[in-house]
Amino acid sequence: MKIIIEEGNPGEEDQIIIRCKELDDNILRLIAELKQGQKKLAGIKDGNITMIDPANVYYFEGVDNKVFLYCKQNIYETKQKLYEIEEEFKNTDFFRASKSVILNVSKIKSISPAYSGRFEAQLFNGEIVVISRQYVPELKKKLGM
Amino acid sequence: MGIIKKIIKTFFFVLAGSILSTAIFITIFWPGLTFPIAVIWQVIVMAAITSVGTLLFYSKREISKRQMRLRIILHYAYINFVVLATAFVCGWLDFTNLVQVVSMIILVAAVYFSVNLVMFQSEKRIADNINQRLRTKYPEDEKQE
Repeated sequence: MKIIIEEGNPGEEDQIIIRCKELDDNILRLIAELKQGQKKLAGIKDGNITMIDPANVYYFEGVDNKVFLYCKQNIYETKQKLYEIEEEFKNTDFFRASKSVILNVSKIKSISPAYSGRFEAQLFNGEIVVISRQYVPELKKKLGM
Repeated sequence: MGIIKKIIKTFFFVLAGSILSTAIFITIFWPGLTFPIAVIWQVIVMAAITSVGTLLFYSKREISKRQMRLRIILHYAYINFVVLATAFVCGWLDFTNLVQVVSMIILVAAVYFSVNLVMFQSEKRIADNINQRLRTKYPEDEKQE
């Protein structure tokens, strides 16, 4: 991909123009990352709010109407709904792994079969997350398979 | 897929498999045998009861690999019980003849475990491909929070 940087006129708003044949997955992901920019997620723990870089989130999990985000060692609560997170991060490394989990594919160390078409993902922090049968195609798509 | 849909799907798989096995078994061992239509209904009822065993895999939350192994063992025991109970009630087997009973248990075990083994091998291949892709796309560097 060719990157051209042009100097704009003084007072003109900065803009990014993407010229492509079609909006494929890679371009959509790039756009999503650009839009996210420095966007942080608000994680609540012990009454304190911590701003978290989405790239550091291993997975989101919905438990009893609450949504938690899991980082390498810490767990925070987030006020966002799981479907909102799914929509917001749909063109990033996150994908729906089961009804209650949205997983960061870049944090998966390896996967292994877990019977009946399901898989277990071992994450870089040692945790294990189940990937439901119906969401395996989504994982494959994320990996360009 | 809803559990009801899963049970119905299993019912048709079991029914097709049972009728096919019966046809092959009778053609090989009792080519001249004729039997009443009631036997077909017995097979249908057995398939229906067997497919209800799918409920053993039902869970609102994702089941771990260990739990799944336990449920597979319970499911296998349930299938064995249903097949032997139906055979006893319908008089398919001579229960005073140990060879016949043991043969039936071995047959159920062979079919059950070979189906599971084939499925596991296929899932392992998928896992290997995904792991290979993961290693290429996301080299194994531990991400920091």
